[in-house]
Amino acid sequence: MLSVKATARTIAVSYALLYLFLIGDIDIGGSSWRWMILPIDSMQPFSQRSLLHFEAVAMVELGWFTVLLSPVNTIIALTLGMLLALNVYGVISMRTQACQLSKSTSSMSALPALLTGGACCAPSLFLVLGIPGLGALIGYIGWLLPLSALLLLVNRFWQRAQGAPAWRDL
Amino acid sequence: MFKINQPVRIYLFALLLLPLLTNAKDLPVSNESRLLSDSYEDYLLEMMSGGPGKDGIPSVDKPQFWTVREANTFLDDKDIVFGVYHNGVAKAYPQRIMVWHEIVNDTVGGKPLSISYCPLTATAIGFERGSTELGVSGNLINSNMVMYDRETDSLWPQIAAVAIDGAYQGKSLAEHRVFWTSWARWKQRHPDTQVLSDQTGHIRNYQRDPYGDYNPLKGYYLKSSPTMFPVMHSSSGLAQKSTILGFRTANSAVAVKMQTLRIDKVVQVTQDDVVYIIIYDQGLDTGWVYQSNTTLDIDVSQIPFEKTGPNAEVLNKLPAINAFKAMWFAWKAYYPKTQLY
Repeated sequence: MLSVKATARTIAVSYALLYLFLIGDIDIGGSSWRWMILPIDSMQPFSQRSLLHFEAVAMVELGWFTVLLSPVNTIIALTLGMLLALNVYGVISMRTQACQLSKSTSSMSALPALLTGGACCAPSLFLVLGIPGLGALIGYIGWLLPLSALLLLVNRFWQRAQGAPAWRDL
Repeated sequence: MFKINQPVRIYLFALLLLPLLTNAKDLPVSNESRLLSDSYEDYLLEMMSGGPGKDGIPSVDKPQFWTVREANTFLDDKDIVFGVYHNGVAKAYPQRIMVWHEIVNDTVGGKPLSISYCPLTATAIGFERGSTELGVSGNLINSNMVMYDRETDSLWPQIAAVAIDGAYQGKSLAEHRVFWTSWARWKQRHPDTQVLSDQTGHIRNYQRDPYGDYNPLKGYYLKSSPTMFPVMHSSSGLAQKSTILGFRTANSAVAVKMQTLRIDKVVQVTQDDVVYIIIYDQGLDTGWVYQSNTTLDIDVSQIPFEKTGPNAEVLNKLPAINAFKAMWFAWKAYYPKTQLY
């Protein structure tokens, strides 16, 4: 059985991968094996495609998997994953204290960031939702990412204030 | 009294002229005006973010090209390409690449052109660009991309092709014909075509279309799927995403259902005492539009279609009008008084 820390780490990595998949940096369904890297003078890792969605500098096609390597997107994904993991770790640690409010808050806080995938380049999210005209809101979707990070941070501070242990204490 | 000597006068006069010189107009504009159904203010009010910021969808400014043999490893015969022919040179721009860039600033047969494509309205239109470039502003009007020019930053909705803001406000872009067709059809007509390669200078997943797919048809491109953004004028009489062939002049706009054109082969439309003759080109699955004073008796089966288009004496004398395919809802949103045939 996984330890609490191992569970939290698994959640962090899974969330980061899911986030990268939803913004299109990881894709499934290719068929070729090759890689492509931009010349140094063409790399623009800090150039934004949309709000907080950054340019890739390389691409690797591994059969069914295609990975666009964007250093900043990867850092954002791992940061969000880590914040979520800390929240989940807090929830599990406080389980004996029956803190149901914290449990639901920490889970929900991560969701808005996943929605930012819809803002990357297309109204793909609204396509899935199938609601005509909803694309008018797409310009605001990028703000869900900092909102998620903020909610996760606030929730983590709240957990600590309620007596949840620090990561190193376990 | 204070006097200004001659050299100083010349210098001051030159200073006065300087703004005119620095505001040089590099972008070729059309001599003829083009229909605009709403006011500039209304278009600007309706303009909204499409998600990405300015150049967040990056135009391809240093395009590289494949041969037909090289392109065959990337393209399926049924994949959509946007074909351009000028001065003996044929180029194809794969939809799978264009969906990530929307504009390619290229030179075809010696003529600088911007090849533009809006996935949300399924419109591919070519524009003369002179010594400047067009870019993607990140904004939409009627679901249609708003371009900007890198000379003056004027805003150009792609379908209207009239500047609604900036130094060029009211001017119309000079257009160049772009053919929306399949890879198989294009390479049959132009076996020596060049094809835009995936070496675009940007990293994108060209195996994936974020909106859906044309081969086979799915996602946003399905006729039954909803539109995503509000429009200024709603459509009726035809499924919203049905394909029409549209053209417009200074005073009117005409749309012909592709399905009608495929069956009838020739459609003749009279508007404001002008006859527009639309000829179906089975080879490219497109139409050619001509302006005439009178209706003509035309047998399309007798017309050879060459690289430059239909070769018939009766048509060669007539002025040709640029036309392009579009989703019906988008055409109607820009041209609410359009005639549909």
